[in-house]
Order: sequence, then C-alpha cells, then structure tokens
Amino acid sequence: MKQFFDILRFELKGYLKNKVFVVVTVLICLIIAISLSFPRIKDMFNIDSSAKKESTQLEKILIVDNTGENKQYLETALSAAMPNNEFVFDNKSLDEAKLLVNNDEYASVILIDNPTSFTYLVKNLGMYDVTSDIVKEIFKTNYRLNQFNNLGVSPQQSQSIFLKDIDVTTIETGQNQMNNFFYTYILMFMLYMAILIYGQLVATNVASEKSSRAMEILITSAKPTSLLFGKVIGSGLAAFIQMGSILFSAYIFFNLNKAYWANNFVINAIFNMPLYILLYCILFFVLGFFIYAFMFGAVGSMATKVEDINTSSMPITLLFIIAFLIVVMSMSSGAVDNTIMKISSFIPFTSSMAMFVRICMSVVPVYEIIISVVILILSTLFIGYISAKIYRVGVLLYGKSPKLGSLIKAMFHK
Amino acid sequence: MKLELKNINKSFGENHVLKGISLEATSGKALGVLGRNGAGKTTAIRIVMGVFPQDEGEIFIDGKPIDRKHINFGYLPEERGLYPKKIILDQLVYFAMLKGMNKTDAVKSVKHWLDRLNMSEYSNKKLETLSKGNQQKIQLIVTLVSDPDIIILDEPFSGLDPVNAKLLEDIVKEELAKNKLVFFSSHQMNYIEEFCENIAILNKGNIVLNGNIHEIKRNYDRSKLIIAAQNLENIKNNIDEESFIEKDNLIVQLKSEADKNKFLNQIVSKNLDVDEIKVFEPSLKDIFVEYTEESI
Repeated sequence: MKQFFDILRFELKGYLKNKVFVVVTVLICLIIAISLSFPRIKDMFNIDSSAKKESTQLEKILIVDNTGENKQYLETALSAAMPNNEFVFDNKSLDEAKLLVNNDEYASVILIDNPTSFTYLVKNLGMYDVTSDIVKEIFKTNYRLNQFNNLGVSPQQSQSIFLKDIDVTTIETGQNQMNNFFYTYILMFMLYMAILIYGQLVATNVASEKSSRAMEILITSAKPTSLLFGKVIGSGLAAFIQMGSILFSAYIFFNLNKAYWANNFVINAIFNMPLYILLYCILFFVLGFFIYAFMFGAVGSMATKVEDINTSSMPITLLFIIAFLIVVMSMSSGAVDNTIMKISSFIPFTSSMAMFVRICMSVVPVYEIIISVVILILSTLFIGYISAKIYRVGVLLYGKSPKLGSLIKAMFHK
Repeated sequence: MKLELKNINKSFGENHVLKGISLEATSGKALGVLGRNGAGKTTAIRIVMGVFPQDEGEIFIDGKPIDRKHINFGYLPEERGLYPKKIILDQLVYFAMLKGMNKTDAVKSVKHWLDRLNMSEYSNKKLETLSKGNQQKIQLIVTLVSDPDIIILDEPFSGLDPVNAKLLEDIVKEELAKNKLVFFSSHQMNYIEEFCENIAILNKGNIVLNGNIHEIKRNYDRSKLIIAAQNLENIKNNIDEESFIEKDNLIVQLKSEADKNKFLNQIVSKNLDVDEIKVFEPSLKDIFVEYTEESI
C-alpha cells in the first residue's frame, strides 16, 4: 500500500509540476473569468463604445419601389425594425442594382414588384441574415391591414387582433430539458474531453517509461498493480484538480457578476443546476475515467515507442467517440430515453455518459441508476485487474507486439 | 546469504536460451558470469530478478525457494534508463521509496551516494542534461540506494571511463567487505579478474566452466614457466628447454611439471642472471577464449 501511495504521489506531482499543465489550467480559468466578467468590463467602457458607434457608418440598404405606393409606410416600418441600417429610396433596374451590390455601395437591395412580392439582392448571403425575413413580415402585416381595411375593419381593430397573444402555462412533472440541456451538454463535454485527454496521457506515460527503459527498474521494485493503479489514479486526480479549478473559477466569477447576467437564460440555466447533478457528474466522471484510463494504460504498455500510441489506442478512442455520438444525438433530438440510450446506460463503456445524460434530462428510476453504477464499478475493477495483467506482460515486451494467444497465456502465468 | 540457481531452463519460442544452468553465489564474494553476446547472461539475471519466470528449475536463497518480497535487491539492468525529464534528486528518492524506505532515510541515502560518486552538484538537474557516463552513475545510485543485500549488476562497466570504472570497482569492493552478495555479468575480463573470486562462463545457454578463479588457473598445465630478466637472449641460448620470447618475457616449455626444480638448478649452475621466475598461468581472457572459441 505504501508503494501505491508513493507512486500516486510521484505521478500527481509530475502533473502539478508540469509547466504546460499549470499554464493551461491557469489560462482556461483566466478565459472563464474574463468571459464571465465581460458585461461588467463592457459597462466600464460604455461611454467610449457609444461614442464609437455614432462615428461608424450605418449599413445602407437600397429600396427600389416599382409600385410607388408604400414608401412612407415602408420607411417607418423598416427604420423601426432595423435601426442599424440606413434606407435609401431610388429607382434602378435589376442589372444596375446587382452592380451596386457587387461594388459594395449597398449592403443589399430590395426590389418591390407588387405589394405581395419582392426580390432581395445581396452579395454574400450570411448564415444569420434575417433582412429578407423582416421585410417579408412587414409586407405581410401591411397586406393584411390593407385587406382588413377593405373589408371594413378599422386599423385599430385589426392591430389589436394581430397583437393578441395566447397565455401558456407549462408544468413539468419531470425535467425541463430546455433548461438542463446547456449544463448537461457542458458537463458531458468536459467529461468527454477529460477522459480522452487524460486517458491518452496515461498511455503516453506508460509508453515513455517503457521507451526510456525505466520500466525494468520499476517492475522489479514495485508491484505492477501498484504501478498501474498509482498512475491511473494519479492522472485521475490531476484531471480532477484541473476540472475542479475550472468549475470553481466559473462559479466564483459568475457570482461576482451575477447582476450582469440576470437576463441571460443560458448562463442562468447553467449556474442554477441542482447540486445532485454535480454529484452525479463527479461519480460518473470518476468511474468513466477509470475504466478508460485502465484500458489506455494497458495499450500504452503494449506499445514499443511513444509514437505508436496514437495508432494502438485508436480502437479505444473510437469506442469512446461512438458512445459520445450516441449520447449527443439523443440529446439534441430530445429523446434521451430512447431504446439505444436505455441499453447504453447499462453498458460500462457508454453508461458513464448515457446514464448521466438521462439523469440530467429525464426521470430515471433509482433502481436503474443503482444497477448501472454497480455494473460500472464491477467492470472498472475487472478491467483494472485485466489491464494490470496486460501491463505486467506488456511493459517488458520490446519489438513486435505479441500474438493474442501468447499474451493471454503469459498474463495468467504465475 | 547464499543464492542458488538450480537447473534453470528458459526458451523464447524456438530459441532455447538457458539449457539447465546451475550457479551458486555467496555473501562477501563476487560471482562474475562471463559470456559472449547472446550467451544468456541477461536472461539468467532477469530470471533471478523475476522479470520473467523460468520454464524449469528453481532458485533458492539459503536453501529456501526465493521469495522476492522479502529480499532487498539492488539491480542494475543491462537496459539502462530512468526518467530523462525529471530532477535527479526527485527520481532517486522515488526509487528509494519504492524499495520501502521512508522519505527521510531515502533523502539521506541519496545524498550519501551522490556525494560518494561525486555527483552532488547535479542533484537538482534533469537527468537528460548529464553525459552518458554520469547517467550511468545515477543508475548505479538507484541500484545501491536502498542498501540491498543482493546486488545484481548486468554489464556494469559498459560505458564507463577508466576513472569511473575504478570508482565502481572500489564501491563493489566496499559492498563485498560489508558481506553483500554481488552477482554480475560482463565480457570485460580485466575487471572480473580484479575482484571476482568465483566465475562462471556461460556459452550458448550452458555453463561451460564454473568455480574459483584461482583454482581454475591452478588446474591448468603448470609446465610452462615465465621468466623476466635483463638479457633474455642470453638465457634463451644457454638453456636446454624449448623457449621463445614474448613481449618482455621468456616463455619456457618444460617437458613436465616435475621438471621445475631441475630447470632451476640449471639456471643456478649456469649462473644465469634472472629477475623473476614463475609458473605461467593463463589469463582469464585466454581461458574465456578457449571455452567459447568453438562458437566464434
């Protein structure tokens, strides 16, 4: 046991003393701190930025109204809907208009042929370009008002008909997936990154001990189980410390700037996650991490050179990515309780993510959670045991990889 | 303490590396295993260390089957290598602690050995910044830091300059004086001859010669004499026996071992001026070549 703790301490110290590890952690915390303080910082420079805004030119949009009937209405409606644009009315042909847009004289051109159709001309249609939708809405409203007017309904009456909204009350007896989606996604993504990055680090760590030939001393000084468990748990703690500092700095800086985020639905949804979710996250992170880290350790022990790690750890990485995709796709479709997710939440390689997401976004019976966790714990122990066996045999094999048969034979040789 | 290897067999696939070797080493005396490249020296050592198991045969410590958990081994593997990117002091303390020492003792012992090997100035450097020879010395500290009872050195002299080789030799002698069991392999005869009482020559997986180095030499033909003198030519011309000059000596071949006194009488009666006369003993190198030559 003393050996195991010596190894654990040495491995963990290796991470904490590593400059890259420290710099990356501090950098991420810093980025989070700045992002969460951004509204406050922006406020401090507000006077400057409003002055700047006035000096910047407004985007010009050319309106070619061939009907000639709607200028006044359009001008008021457009200016109200898009205050950041300047609208110019002029008569141009389609070709002239194209040329103007191409030469960047106007951001876009709207050619109106009749009250129910128009052409929208733009050089590059942006992903989030909503100009044509806004204009369409304005036209629609205008058309309806005119039609109602013709039928003898006064503009005020039709206005009130249009503006009437329906009150909706939603009561969730389970989970609010809309709220939970964001924090579930963030936590799961952290889980995914941590397992993949630290798993790979375990593999590289083992392989580099092998290639630097420190292994023969290690294996004759310490038990292979102590070595592998010490390494895996040491890496796990390092990952935990990193994730912990990131979450902690996020929590601190959110609370410092809480007032500035009061109206942000996403940010509030994330930081108001219930405590039990965080606890489940820790549980599934620990178990999910270990099951993969043990496998990565075993793979590392089979590699001859550090460069081999990328190829030999591919099957594990792929398995993990598939698990991730299943969960993410189910999450975005909203059907987190579909059959494949239910099955996945009991398979040890996928359950850490699948069960976690189901707990976050749906209501899972307690017995299912217990079964899933028990399966995961037992499989982790089993994989740890097998990995230590592979590790013991693998670390001293140089040159070509052994055949599966001889490997299994060697593993169980006393 | 006595370490015994009995009838050890080991194969790697088709390759029968050790063919039933038996060896014995005792505390206070060094056992040197000699052999050409690929003779099976490292395999034998790795089996003793439990790096991999033997196919057949047994290893005993003081007559009981070996229990590696209760023996403090110091092992210098043939494949040298520690952590290149870690601070020397840190990793030495780590290796000492893996051997069961507590931190205080480990630090104390590491400092003692760094000092003994004149390496104290490097203690806070990364291993990779050191020269190869100095890295070897650090590796030697890993071997000795836990004050082991059994010291196993696989090719300890490779890569050391003469000064460092002398240092290692002194250290091994000190350990032997402390009644430690030293077992090592080498193909550098001069070092083995220097402080090994017992040798075993391993050839193609078999022990071809095993025993006390002096006894082995004594068992050789003792009918050859080696003479040192100021005027070798004069002696050569005045004696009856067959002789030739080799380097600065005259080698005389007697008809039989019993003729030694007869030859001495001849020297005295002819009043030949002689500095030294002794029986010609083969060097370890000669013996080694004789036993392993057929496989060249």
